[in-house]
Amino acid sequence: MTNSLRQHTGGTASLVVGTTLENRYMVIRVIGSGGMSWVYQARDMRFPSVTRLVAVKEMLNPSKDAAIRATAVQSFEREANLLATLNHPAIPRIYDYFTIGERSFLCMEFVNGKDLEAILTESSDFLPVTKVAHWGADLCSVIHYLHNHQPPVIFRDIKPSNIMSDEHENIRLVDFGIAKLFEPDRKGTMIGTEGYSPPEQYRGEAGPLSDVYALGATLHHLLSRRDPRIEPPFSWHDRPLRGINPAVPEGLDQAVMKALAYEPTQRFPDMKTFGAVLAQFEEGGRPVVIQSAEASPGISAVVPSGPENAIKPKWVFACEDEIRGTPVITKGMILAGAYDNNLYALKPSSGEFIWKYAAEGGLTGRPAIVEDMIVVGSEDKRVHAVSLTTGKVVWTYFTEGPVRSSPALAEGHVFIGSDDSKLHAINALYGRGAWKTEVDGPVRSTPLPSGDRIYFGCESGDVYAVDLRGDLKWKFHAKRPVTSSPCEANGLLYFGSVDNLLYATDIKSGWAVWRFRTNHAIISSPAIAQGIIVFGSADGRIYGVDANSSKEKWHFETEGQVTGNPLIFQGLVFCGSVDKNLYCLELLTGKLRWKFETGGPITGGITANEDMIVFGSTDHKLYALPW
Amino acid sequence: MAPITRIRSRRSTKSAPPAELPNDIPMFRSGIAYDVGRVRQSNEDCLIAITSLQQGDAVSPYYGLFVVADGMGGHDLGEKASLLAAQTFAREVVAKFGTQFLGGVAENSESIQEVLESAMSLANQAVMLNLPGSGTTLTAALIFSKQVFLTHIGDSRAYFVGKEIRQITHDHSLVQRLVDQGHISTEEAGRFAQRNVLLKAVGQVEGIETDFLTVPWEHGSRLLLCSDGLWGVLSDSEILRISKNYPSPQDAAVALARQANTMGGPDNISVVIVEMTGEK
Repeated sequence: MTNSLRQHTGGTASLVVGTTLENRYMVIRVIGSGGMSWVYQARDMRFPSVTRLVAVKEMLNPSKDAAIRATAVQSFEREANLLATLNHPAIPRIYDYFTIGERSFLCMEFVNGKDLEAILTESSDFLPVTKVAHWGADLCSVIHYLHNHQPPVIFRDIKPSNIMSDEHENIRLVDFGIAKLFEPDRKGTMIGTEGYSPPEQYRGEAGPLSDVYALGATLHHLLSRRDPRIEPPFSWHDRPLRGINPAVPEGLDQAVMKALAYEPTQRFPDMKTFGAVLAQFEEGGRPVVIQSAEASPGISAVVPSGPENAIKPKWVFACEDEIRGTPVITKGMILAGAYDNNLYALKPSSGEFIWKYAAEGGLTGRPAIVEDMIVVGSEDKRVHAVSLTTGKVVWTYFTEGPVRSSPALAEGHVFIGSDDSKLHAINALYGRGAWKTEVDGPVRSTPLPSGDRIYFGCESGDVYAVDLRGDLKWKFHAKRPVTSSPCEANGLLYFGSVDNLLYATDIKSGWAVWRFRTNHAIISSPAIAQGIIVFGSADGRIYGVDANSSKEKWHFETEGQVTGNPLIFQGLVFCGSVDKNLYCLELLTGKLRWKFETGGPITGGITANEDMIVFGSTDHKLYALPW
Repeated sequence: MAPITRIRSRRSTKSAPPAELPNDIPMFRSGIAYDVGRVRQSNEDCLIAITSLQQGDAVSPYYGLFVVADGMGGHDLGEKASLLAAQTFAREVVAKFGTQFLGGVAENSESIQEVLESAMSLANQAVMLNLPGSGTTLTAALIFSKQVFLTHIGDSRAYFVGKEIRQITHDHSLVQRLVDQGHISTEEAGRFAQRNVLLKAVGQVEGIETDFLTVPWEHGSRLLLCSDGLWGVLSDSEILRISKNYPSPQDAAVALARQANTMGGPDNISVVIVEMTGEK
């Protein structure tokens, strides 16, 4: 072979169109290439009066060692002879083989069609499940033939690009991985790119059950459209078929997962058995329940029994308007503000009324306890401090706008925001203003005092860090309002914004560390425990995100916007939704423990003690549930 | 590095007794070791250590960027890939982060995660375009404001070494995947034949996903970055023991590499040890 035959100088270019090999095969076009090999469409000139097309596969033998090269050529010829003895309609016929210099050639039947990878790429939606099942059953049949050939042939490289659907829509196996013979041993750090190969193949072992696995992987790819070559190997359980493509019947899902079992002995014992199962899911196939008991471990779909309505409230207390705030539990008392302007004090055990305090505007925040007082902001523009024992006012403090923020306590002061665009610092015992800091918009989030600083969000989209004198330390700008109240862990500050993002910023400098995107506004205030940050979004989901890596650990879909604040308590997440339900999820997995339906959207937060959780709903009621 | 010199000279002035100067200026002390090992002909690793200090009314008095990369590929491709990736990565981070550190305004509001990820993506593209057929691991730590921001691809590792040793990164390797799935034990992993098979590397495919994580600086600990030429040869407890024996990070780094060579030095060895002093 001389370089003049090549499109480029250098030994690794493809043949030029028009080149004739062995005075017989004229190259018409390049069909494909793969590193050290090329496939050409060629015309067999032995039949000058008709156009007989063949496929010619060219393989480069790169070894510089003559002895190694000779061994590789011998193996190639042995393999070519073996392939020539195969006789199955799904296997292209081998016509010829020859070696020229450092290149070996294999001539075979030209298959006019498309490979399954191309078919999958060109389709914009999932392929019809019955069609994939039909292909699978046909492939089982041809691979079964190979396995029972004497000597047995292990295909070793089943994947969508090695399978073609010809012009008659019949399945053809097109590449017997013969090029592998020429790959030199690779040493040192290297990349595993297999994706379709079973674990034992990484140990250099391949048997019939390896082909079962690779076919399972191929079917998984075809049904899920998720390319296993770009996913971690053996991560099938992370991509449940039916979770991705709901059209896949459960039995087919189980069959694919069984083929993909890590241990070869857990897979189908042979291709025939696998094929029989797949045939049930072809067009017109009979739906037969397959051995679900033998399904691979880890795919059982056990639903916890009766998660709904299993919870009966300990008590319910009715107010005269919506409850949008968060109650608190203290000293034998539950305190909750309502939109009917009242702050209610109830007995935790029974929900019995103790006293109420009337403000002149709705109460939407979470009250805070200061010594024997309760402090709460109101839409009447005031902050009220009320005696816990008598329910009578101790002091009031006037701002210049409705107060929708909740009070936070530190260093003997109450810190609270107002729609007057200020953060107010108020002496907790006497209600005297210590200072106020003017910002760029209403402050509705709850300030977070931590160390010698106070952090709070603003409707201007800014988050501020001020010191205990109210002097600005840093300011961070989100694109839309920050109503969500910040929380802190491990030196990072977390908050949501109406710009759909949850932010983590460095608490010392305010520099953004990461942001996590949801599909709608985040008004809900995040909660954090065990390295998981939990928050709701108006996209209807409750999210659990790894606080350090920003990776989503789980999300739970509700039927309405989630604007209320989640509570994390004893490994459980409690969160309300506009769909009227209160959800109880497992913190680590996001799995539903139970849900409880109220008469209206739940937009406030939740409080808990050892006995119960307490929350309000816009159905005007305050609920106490055992948990 | 002018600030370092100034601080040192101030401390060594004999007319001002050291006791009167508060020794609480945050400062990095870092040490590196870089060796071809006993078996390989060339060193396909690369490491970069950048420390920056400032005093004054600044947001942060320091930041540091530390990178270890372990290249792979025939001929001299591996060493070229690791250097190209590490330099491309560091250049991008310094351009964005270093500017902000010195009071410059960031051009857009990228988060630290986005800065590190775009730097990794540039490194990936650079290797793909310029050195096809090669690849490299890349593990980088950006230290700033008591936080360590880590990003990595491949099996070069980051550890905290203090009273105990704790691995922070999670290898993108076949053997790690098998351990995670419970198919083999950590013990078996040490003997696993395909220990060097990576699931991803810089310069292999477009749009590579990188791991990002942030961990608060462990007070009293050292941060160790190393290639598999170190961790593949020395056990965690050996690394811990040797690190404890040397008060100077530089001495510790060299001692670790020396011990890896004593154990046969089968692969290139890169070690970066970072210590923070004066940080309250």
